[in-house]
Amino acid sequence: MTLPAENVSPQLTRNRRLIIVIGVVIPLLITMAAAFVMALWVPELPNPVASHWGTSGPDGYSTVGSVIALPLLMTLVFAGLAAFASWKGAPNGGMLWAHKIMVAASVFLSISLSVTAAGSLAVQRGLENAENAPAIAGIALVAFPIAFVMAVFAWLMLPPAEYIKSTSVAAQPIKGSVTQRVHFSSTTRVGTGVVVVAAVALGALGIALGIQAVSNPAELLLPAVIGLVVMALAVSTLSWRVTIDQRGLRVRSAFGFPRATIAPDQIASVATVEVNPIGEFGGYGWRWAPDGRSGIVLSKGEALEVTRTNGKKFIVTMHDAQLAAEALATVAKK
Amino acid sequence: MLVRVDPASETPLFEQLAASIRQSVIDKTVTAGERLPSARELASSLGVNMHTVLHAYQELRDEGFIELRRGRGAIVAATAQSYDSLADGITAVVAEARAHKVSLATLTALIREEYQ
Repeated sequence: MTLPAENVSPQLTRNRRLIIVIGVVIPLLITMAAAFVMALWVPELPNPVASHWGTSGPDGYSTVGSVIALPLLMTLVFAGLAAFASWKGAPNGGMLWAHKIMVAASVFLSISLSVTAAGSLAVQRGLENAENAPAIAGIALVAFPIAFVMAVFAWLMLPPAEYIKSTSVAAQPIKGSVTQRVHFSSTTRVGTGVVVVAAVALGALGIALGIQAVSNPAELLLPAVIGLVVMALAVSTLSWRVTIDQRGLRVRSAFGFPRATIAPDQIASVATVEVNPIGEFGGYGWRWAPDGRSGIVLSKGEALEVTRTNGKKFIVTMHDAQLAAEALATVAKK
Repeated sequence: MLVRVDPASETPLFEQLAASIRQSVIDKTVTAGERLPSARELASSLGVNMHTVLHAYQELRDEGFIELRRGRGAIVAATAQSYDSLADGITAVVAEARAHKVSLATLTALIREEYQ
């Protein structure tokens, strides 16, 4: 009698189970347990409770219900996001490092939020007035290392990260006499989907700054400066100008900063390669991959890959990568 | 867009520049509305005189390939879209020549004869 092939559950099914247990169930259990404990303390707590501390004691107050609900709500949203993002798995059925980070971050978030929330309420038990709440910096000092260690455990319990290794195709110099000079220029930008996501994120940042401007104008300067710099950088790095000539490769974002240059004598080899932004670089923009590559990653598909003489690789995704690679190979050869 | 020039060639530099850009428009490496590098930028990039680049740009403008606008530089003309059938024809001719093992020199000579 012939038995069907050994009926092991496929790798992906196992990984999904791990994602659900480690990334969703455990974080939610932790936050629910914390919420339960905090709920037991409600009779002993002042109302409202201190929920934000400044340099000289508490400076923000809220209802005990929101302090209990917030970790639960945030964990729920983030765990859902982590599971959703990592559900499809890597091309070969494994987990990408970007997915593992999401799942581990879910654990980190749930523990750090729960411990800080519970800690901040614990010190207020028996108080008549929340204004007398003691400082809680010590709790954060405990919460974050614990959360970090647990996140590391979560990372280790997940399967080893699968790396997408796309083969690069070496580029040939453009045929022609040794005296020829080439100039290549092109604009590369992110796709519509990324623009929409970026617009939503920047819109949210703008709204947050607006709320801060109305509610607490005195403390607006620093968030506003950081927010505006982040916005300018984000908008600037959505589109890049690529120039290749006898001075080497130059990439320059829309507003002129950031930019990068690789001189011909720093170039060891030039190739084209297929790039998967999320899988290999964990996202879009100026990116660093865990395998040491860096570059301008704006779209899935063809990219120019430059290997420097020090072995480091620089990537630029672009629709005309083949032509760019040939042009750069021509320049580098000399 | 790829621009190639060879200072050692007998063809004038501005002609080489114009030919290179013309080819990019015809094979759609650059599309209508796209901005070409400024004359100054292209000149320093290729190590040629800026007036050489301007000369090439003016020739391309006269042929209707690009528009030169004050302050906006050179832009690929919208009218420069109608080379599809020419590009297809060239692809077909080259494929045919390869199939019959006709050399590039022979093919060029044939085209030149027909053109004149």
